[in-house]
Amino acid sequence: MLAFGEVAERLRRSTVQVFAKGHGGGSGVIWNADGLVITNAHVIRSANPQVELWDGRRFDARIGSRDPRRDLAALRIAGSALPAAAAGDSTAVRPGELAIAIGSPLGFVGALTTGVIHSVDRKWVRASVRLAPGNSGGPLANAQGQVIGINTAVMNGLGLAVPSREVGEFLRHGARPRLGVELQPVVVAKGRVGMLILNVEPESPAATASLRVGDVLVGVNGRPLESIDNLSDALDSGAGVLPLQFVRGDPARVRETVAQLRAQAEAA
Amino acid sequence: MIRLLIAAPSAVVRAGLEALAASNPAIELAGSFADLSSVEALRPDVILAALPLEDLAPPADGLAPPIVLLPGESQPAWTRDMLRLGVRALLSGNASAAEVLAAVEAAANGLAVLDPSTLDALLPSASPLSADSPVLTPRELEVLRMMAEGAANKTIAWKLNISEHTAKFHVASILGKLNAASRAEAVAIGIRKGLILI
Amino acid sequence: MVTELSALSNDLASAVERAGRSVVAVHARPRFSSCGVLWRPDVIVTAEHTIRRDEEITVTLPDGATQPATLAGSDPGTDLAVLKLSAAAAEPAVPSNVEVRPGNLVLAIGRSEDSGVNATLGIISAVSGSWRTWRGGRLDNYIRLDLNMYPASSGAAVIDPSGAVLGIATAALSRIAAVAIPASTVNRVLDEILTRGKVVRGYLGVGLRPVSVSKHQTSLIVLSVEPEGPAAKAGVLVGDILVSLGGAVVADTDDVQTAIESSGVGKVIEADLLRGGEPKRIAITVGERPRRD
Repeated sequence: MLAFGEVAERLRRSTVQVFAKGHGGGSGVIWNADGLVITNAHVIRSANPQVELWDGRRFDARIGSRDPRRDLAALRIAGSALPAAAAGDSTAVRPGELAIAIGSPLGFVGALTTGVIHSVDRKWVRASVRLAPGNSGGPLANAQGQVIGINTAVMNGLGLAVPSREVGEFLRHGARPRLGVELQPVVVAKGRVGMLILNVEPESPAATASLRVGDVLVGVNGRPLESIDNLSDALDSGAGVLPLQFVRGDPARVRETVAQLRAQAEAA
Repeated sequence: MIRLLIAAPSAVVRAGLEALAASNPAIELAGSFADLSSVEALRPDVILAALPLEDLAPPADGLAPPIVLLPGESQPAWTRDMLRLGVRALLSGNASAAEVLAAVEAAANGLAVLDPSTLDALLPSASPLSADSPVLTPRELEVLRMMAEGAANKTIAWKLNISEHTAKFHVASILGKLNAASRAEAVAIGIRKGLILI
Repeated sequence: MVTELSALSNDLASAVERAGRSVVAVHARPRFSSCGVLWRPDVIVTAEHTIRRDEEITVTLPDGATQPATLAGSDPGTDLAVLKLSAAAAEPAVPSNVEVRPGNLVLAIGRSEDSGVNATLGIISAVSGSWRTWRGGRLDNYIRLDLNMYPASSGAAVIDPSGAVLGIATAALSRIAAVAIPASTVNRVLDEILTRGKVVRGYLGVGLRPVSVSKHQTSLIVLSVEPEGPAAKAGVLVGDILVSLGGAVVADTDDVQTAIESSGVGKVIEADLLRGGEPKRIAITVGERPRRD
């Protein structure tokens, strides 16, 4: 069994700084020794991120794939025999266990903070670790130094991390399916709620399904669409196609279209 | 008149900064040097420095004129030590002439200047869960619409039959959710987000 | 020996004295009084935000006497309120015909019950054209003042060095500085309040938000339509994209507000929309903005 100091040191060496031009950037985790680095999707805002290792070595990184819904991104750097993190099983994590977070909060590189696990569910591992910008994309580890999450956000004083299980899913099956739209809840008519489309990404499933800005989604799979969760659940159900009901102009006439969901760019 | 001292080891950089200072009639060049050794003697209002962090040392008598720092190779991040050393502006490596001059003026007036990329790093990271459209409660929407007509807290309280304390609380919550620094800003944001009808 | 400086000092004091004959103290809120300017022999104009009650409003006149005043109406948008006296009280303010420019010396003349007339000195720090206040009103000009405002100063008369009135000072329209509500705006608002009891503002009843229609075009999408409002009655629907209003392309909610103001309550304004990708033209009768206070 490793002493805490050793655990921390190994974890620190598998943590990288990610630089995205013009923005603060964040941290990342060396997931494979052959150069796969995992970070948050929101950390990568420019096309040419750079990665700096614990020993100061800098690499240009190529973006392998992004998953905005999980907020994960896979980067590739040209290195070999890199100090990779040990991946832990986020489903085995229990509230009360020790949690360690490493990152570069406020520019202090390799800073370590500890706390305990607060709760775990499919979406988040919550821990009482004090995170700051710069920790984003970095590892949340258990007492053995195994990475059980990727630090992503702060809410109500707790640090939120994407569970390592989700990282595995992302790497195996690619990004969660998305429609490629920006939505806003609106009242269509007579108290009927729907989701107004404010933006359609080019070549997204929404664009291919001929949805446009101004359309209001009112149903998914024939069921009323009342919140973003209805849509998320339907997207994650594993279906390859998704029937959508919407109104365009006349609120009395409900139209149908079908979105072809496909896995995003395969994980590197 | 802002008395400026330039400190940069590189003669080329010094020449560039001198030209910059000369272009602003409100700036009087107290001196241009390779380091900060003349600061104590000359007592400038502002120091414009293109020096590595390690070369900044507090002056012996503890009075540090504000420093506008142009970083070298690496882009350091704000630290408390830097503030203690007198750094009041940390510009990015590709700051424009206008930005440098603005930072000098601001520092001379006792303000601190943050480059937007630094600000990005200092602000709490946006949770991916936060929607672009902040969700105001129906009550908050009502209060916001009254604010748009200049209603004071007392008026809001009276109209909605709530205590002034509760009205103040709603206003504060609205400002927080909309990330607004004032009522005026909250109203402007509210109109642009379609929360206030026009 | 009269030096230039003491001549200036005397001139300023004379200007204050002259203007002071038309400045009153207004008692319409609990802690601090505010100021008002006698715009007509029996009409006082003051800062709306300092009127915190409808009844038992009194004013202290230049001769020291206190009289009751009634609230004839107010326009929070321009921060103006109009008080009426039962009879002509004193000489109204003399309007200035000086063209204001940044750098011009101005004084703000106020009055309080205890100390009588008071003055602060400053300059015009900025002038620009038509300005929409954050409260939805419109000032004919944006006149920013560089002078001290005290808690009881709002409603003070802003005067030129001769003692003639340029406008009404207020601290409530801008966080960073005092603003002078120009005399022309006061006249416009005063007339409307005396005839209608209020100032009406145009309104369509839509919630709008900018969207990119294409790489080069930003328009506004309708997020909500007020039931029975002017836009609803004209058939505007959620999801419609507003491209132009009253013949002018609109890219921001500011543009829409300007178009509504240019049109006017009761007038018909043409809205060019995209509905489901198809262009559509709708005629909307501009309504009156509902007041919530």
